[in-house]
Amino acid sequence: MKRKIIIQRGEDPDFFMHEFEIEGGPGMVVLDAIHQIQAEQAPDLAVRWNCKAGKCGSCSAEVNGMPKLMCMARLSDYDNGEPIVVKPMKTFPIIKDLVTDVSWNYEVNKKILPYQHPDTDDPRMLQEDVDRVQEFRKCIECFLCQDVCHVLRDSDMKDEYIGPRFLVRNAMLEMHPLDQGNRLQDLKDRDGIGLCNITKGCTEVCPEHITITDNAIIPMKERIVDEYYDPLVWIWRKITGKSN
Amino acid sequence: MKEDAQDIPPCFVPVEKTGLFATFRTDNWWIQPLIMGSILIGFGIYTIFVLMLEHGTIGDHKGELIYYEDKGAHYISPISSPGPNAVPDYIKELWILPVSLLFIWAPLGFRATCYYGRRVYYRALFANPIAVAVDKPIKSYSGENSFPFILQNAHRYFLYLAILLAILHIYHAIESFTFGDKFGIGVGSLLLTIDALFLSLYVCSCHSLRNLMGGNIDCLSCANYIKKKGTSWVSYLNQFHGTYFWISLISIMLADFYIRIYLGMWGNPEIFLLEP
Ligand code: SF4
Ligand code: FES
Ligand code: FES
Repeated sequence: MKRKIIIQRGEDPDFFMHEFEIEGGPGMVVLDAIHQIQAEQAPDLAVRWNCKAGKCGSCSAEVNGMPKLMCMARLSDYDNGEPIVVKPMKTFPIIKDLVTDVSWNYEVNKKILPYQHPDTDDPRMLQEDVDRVQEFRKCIECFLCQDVCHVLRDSDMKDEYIGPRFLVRNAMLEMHPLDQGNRLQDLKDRDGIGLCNITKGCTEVCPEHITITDNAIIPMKERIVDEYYDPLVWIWRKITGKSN
Repeated sequence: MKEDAQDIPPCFVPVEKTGLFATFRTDNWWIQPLIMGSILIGFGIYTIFVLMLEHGTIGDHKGELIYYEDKGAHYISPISSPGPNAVPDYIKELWILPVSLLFIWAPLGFRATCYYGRRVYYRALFANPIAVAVDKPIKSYSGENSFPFILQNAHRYFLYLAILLAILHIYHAIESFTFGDKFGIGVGSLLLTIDALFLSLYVCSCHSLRNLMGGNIDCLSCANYIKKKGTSWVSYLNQFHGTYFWISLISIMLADFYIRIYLGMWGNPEIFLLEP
């Protein structure tokens, strides 16, 4: 069955929309269509991909306006008569066609205080303590959440805000039962967690179904309230001498 | 073979979309904000109407319609809970505005600072953003870092008040099954019970409560029994927090409308499911 695929192509500043017709087959995903176009019609079409199994996080793009992994987006999910529009992620600079430069994310990652191991001889943790952070380890760094976050996408505040992916990483480290680091001050002052207005776009697009906002960002916001905004907690800690 | 823009036939889809709420999305993304925004605005209008009714700006029911006690019923219009009976006379004499205003700021503040509530109105009312991958009309942004939104950090204080309020609503619900000194079930009892149930679930699934119960502890296995159980219960309920937000919002409006307007203002007789 014939399908129309319209792809944004070109390099900055010469972008254009290129329409292709392909032979769609059962079970085909958008990335298959792109590969077919590469093989038969446009060998210089640039696309980044690796696993074709939704596990490497390379093939992020916007399919009919929604941030998606192309290898997980089935053609059959889109109305047959309508063309499918594929664009690169909007939030990052375009290198060529569907390939964007996501290196900003790696720079952000370097700033986060890594796991701090305790000094004890025999550190142990129980399953019930790691259950909570296990969810965050599913992240495949596709950066779809970063792409869709309006603070980065519309307001372009990359200098002030690290984005949902890295709030997840912070939460993973902060909730780790053995980790000795404290990242709350950084989260508040440097990483801009206050810029998140919990509109949950990131949670909506995460292909790993990580409950980014509810399970990572809000708990971090609450810990920051404990630490910096709540006078009762401060008094309570003074009385009991407990820090956490 | 290398294409560039010159060789490519023109395409009917532009590279960028412009205009208000520009997006390449083809699904009905606007339905959700439209419905959610309408319910919120509806709730706002109803609340203002209720306050004006109580103040006497509309109709001639100044200070009335809060308690419904016909045929021994013990109903309260829940938006006004706990109502003027809970206010000492000397305050009532000084206070010229509707007595309900003395209480209503607490549940309204609770909902306004609720993490889920924020998601709803930042999207549906402020379009910041209105939906995923739909352009924001106003790009300049300071999030919850500055006044007034930095006040959202006070949510836990509203939670403490909301816990008291939920207990109060449970009390109203229990009381609503007594008519004089007999037991009975009216539509009012049923609506007040649904209101109390979902308000309690809404409160018990709160993110701040989750933090308080043990969300702020790294080593859960080291925590005491109450914290351990508390975190896991609140975390379980927390998954449905948004659902409880809506059901409790709609159920309080329904119960209030039934008691204040249908029974009180319009003077209809109570419908009994079990006669007292
Ligand atoms: S959190 Fe989800 S959307 Fe964000 S980078 Fe990880 S897998 Fe992708
Ligand atoms: S190619 Fe690996 S996630 Fe799509
Ligand atoms: S987060 Fe919604 S009530 Fe606390």
